[in-house]
Amino acid sequence: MDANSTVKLIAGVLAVVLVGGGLRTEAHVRRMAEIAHSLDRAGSRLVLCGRPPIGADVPATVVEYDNEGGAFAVTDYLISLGHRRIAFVGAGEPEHTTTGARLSGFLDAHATRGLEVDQELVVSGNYDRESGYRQTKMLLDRGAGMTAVVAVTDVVASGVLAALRDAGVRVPEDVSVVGYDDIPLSGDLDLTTVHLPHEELGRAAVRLALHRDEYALDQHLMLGTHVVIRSSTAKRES
Amino acid sequence: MTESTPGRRRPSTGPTLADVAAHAGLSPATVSRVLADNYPVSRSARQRVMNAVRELNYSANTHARALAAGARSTTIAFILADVRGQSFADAAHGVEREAAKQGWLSLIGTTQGDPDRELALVQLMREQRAGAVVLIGGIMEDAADYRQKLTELARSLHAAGSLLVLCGRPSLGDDVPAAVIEYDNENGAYALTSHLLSQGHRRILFLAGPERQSTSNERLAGHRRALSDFGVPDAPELVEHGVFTRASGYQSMRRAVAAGTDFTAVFAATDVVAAGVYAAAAEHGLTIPGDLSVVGYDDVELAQDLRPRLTTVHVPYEDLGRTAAQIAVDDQHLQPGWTGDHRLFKTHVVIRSSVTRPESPRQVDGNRG
Repeated sequence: MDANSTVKLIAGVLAVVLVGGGLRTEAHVRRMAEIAHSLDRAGSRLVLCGRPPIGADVPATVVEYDNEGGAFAVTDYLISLGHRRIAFVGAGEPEHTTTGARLSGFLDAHATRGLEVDQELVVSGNYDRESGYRQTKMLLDRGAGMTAVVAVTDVVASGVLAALRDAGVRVPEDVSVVGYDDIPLSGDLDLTTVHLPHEELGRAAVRLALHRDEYALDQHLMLGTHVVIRSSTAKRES
Repeated sequence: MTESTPGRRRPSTGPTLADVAAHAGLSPATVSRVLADNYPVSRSARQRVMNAVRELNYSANTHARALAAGARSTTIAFILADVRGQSFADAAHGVEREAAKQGWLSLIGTTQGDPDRELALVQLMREQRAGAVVLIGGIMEDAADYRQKLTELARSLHAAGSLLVLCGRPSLGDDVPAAVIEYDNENGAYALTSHLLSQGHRRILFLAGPERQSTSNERLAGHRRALSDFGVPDAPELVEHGVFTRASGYQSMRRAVAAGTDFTAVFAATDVVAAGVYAAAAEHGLTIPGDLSVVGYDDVELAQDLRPRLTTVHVPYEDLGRTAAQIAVDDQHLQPGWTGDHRLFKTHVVIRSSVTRPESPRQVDGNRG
C-alpha cells in the first residue's frame, strides 16, 4: 500500500477506520505512521479499531479492547477448573497483534500461577476453522494429552470441536474447549469464550474520530472483555 | 400503518369516544374535557374516564389526534432529580441539542428525587401542553401507587397528542403508550465484575445506591450474576447501601475499613461514588490500584480526571437524551395503532488505570480477614 496514493484515494473522507489486528513488524508500523501523518495533513484521521496504538506521536484515534486481559482471564478460568495441560491452537502468526496479545495472555496466566507451559502444546495455525481442525488432529495423533484447548478465535474453536468429535473425544468430559470473540456461532456451539464489545468498538471509533475536539483527552480508548461461561468447559477431575 | 386511502376505508372497529362515555357512565362532553384537559373536571370523573380508556384500550382517531397534535406545543420537558449530576446533565445536553436542531424548545424541571414532585411536574407539563415529557433516572421499585399514577399520566399525555418518554428506567408495561429508552445496565455491571474477577479479585466491596432503587438494583444484580458464574460466594458484608454521592462513597468506604471488612477491590455504583472512595483511600494511606482496585459506573468526565484514571462502564447518556428528543419530535406516536417504543443501548467497560491484580490472588480465598 502506497501512502500517498491511499491518501489521494480517500481525499475528502472524514476518517479512515482500520478494523482488526495488524502486523507488528517495524516496516508495517512505520508505514502506518506515515499514512496517519498524511491523513492528518489532509484534515482527515486514521482510526485504529481493535488494534494497539502505533506510537505516542502518531496522530491517530485508537479504540482497542483488552485482548490480552481476555486471554488471561479465560486461561485462568481453565486453570481454576483444575486443568494443567492446556493447548493453545492458532499461534501461527505471533507478530500479528491479535494473535500476539492472546498468546501473551495465555502464557501470563500460567506464569502468574507458577505453572510451566509445555511448548509442545502451543501449536501453529491461522484463523480458519480448517486450521483448528488440522492442528487439533495433530495434537491428538501425537498423544499430547491436553485436557483443555484455548482456540485463538471462535471459528478456530469450531474446528477444534469437530476434530475432537471425529476422534470420539467428549467435550467437556474429556477435553474442555474455549474460543475467543463471542460471535453468534459460539452461542450455537454452547462454547465458553471471551466477549468483545464489537458494536461499541465501532460506535466509539466513529464518535471519537468525528468529534476530535470534544474528545481530545480521550483519543485512546481501551474497552473491556470478559469471559462468557457456557457448557464447553468443566472441572478437571484429578 | 399509513392513512386510509379512498375505496379502502378501514372499518371503524375500535372503541369510540361515545363508547368510553358509556363505559364510564359520563357524558361524551365530560370525556372530551378530560382527554383534552381544557376544562376543570372532578377528580372522580377523571378517574372513571381514565379507567374506561384503559379498559377499552381507547385511542383517539387520527383526525382527533392530528387536531390534538396541532394543539401540542413544540416544547420538550426534561425532568430530572438534580441538575448538578454529570450523567443526567449529559443527557439533558443531548435533549437540548436535538430539540434545537428540530426547532423545538426544551425546558428543564427538577424533582430533588421526590416522586410526588415528579408526578406534579408531569401533570403541570401536561396542562402546559408540552409536546413531550422526558423523565430520566431510576425509580423506587416498591412504589405501586406512584407507578399507577404515572401510568395514568402516560395515557392522558398520549391521548392528548403528547408523549411520556422514560430514560434509563424500567417500562411501565407493554400496554402503556409511552417510549422507553434504556441502556443495558445489568450487563454492564456483569462485565465489570467479570473484569475484576478475571484479575483475581474475590472479595469485592459493592457500594450500592438506595435499597430498592431500580438503577442500583440492576447493577447489583449484574454484579451478583458474575460472582455466581465464577463460583464466588456473595458475602452480605460486602454490600453497602448509600446514595449516589461523593460523600456517601467516602463514608461507606470509611465504615468498611473501620469494620475491618476484608476486600481487595471496590465496585462503586457510580463514578461520583468512586471519587468518594478515592478520598477515603487517600486518608487511610491506601494506594490505588496497588493496595486497592476501584471501579465506577457511568463514564462521566470525572472518570478521566481522577488519578489513577478510573476503569468504569460507559453509558451513552448524551445518546439517550438525543434519542428521547428524536422520538418526541417524530410524529410516529400520533399514528393509529402505535403501542409504544422501546430502545436499548449497549454498555461497555472502559479500561483505564484503577485496577490491577491483587498481590496474592489466591490468598484472598483464605483467612486474611
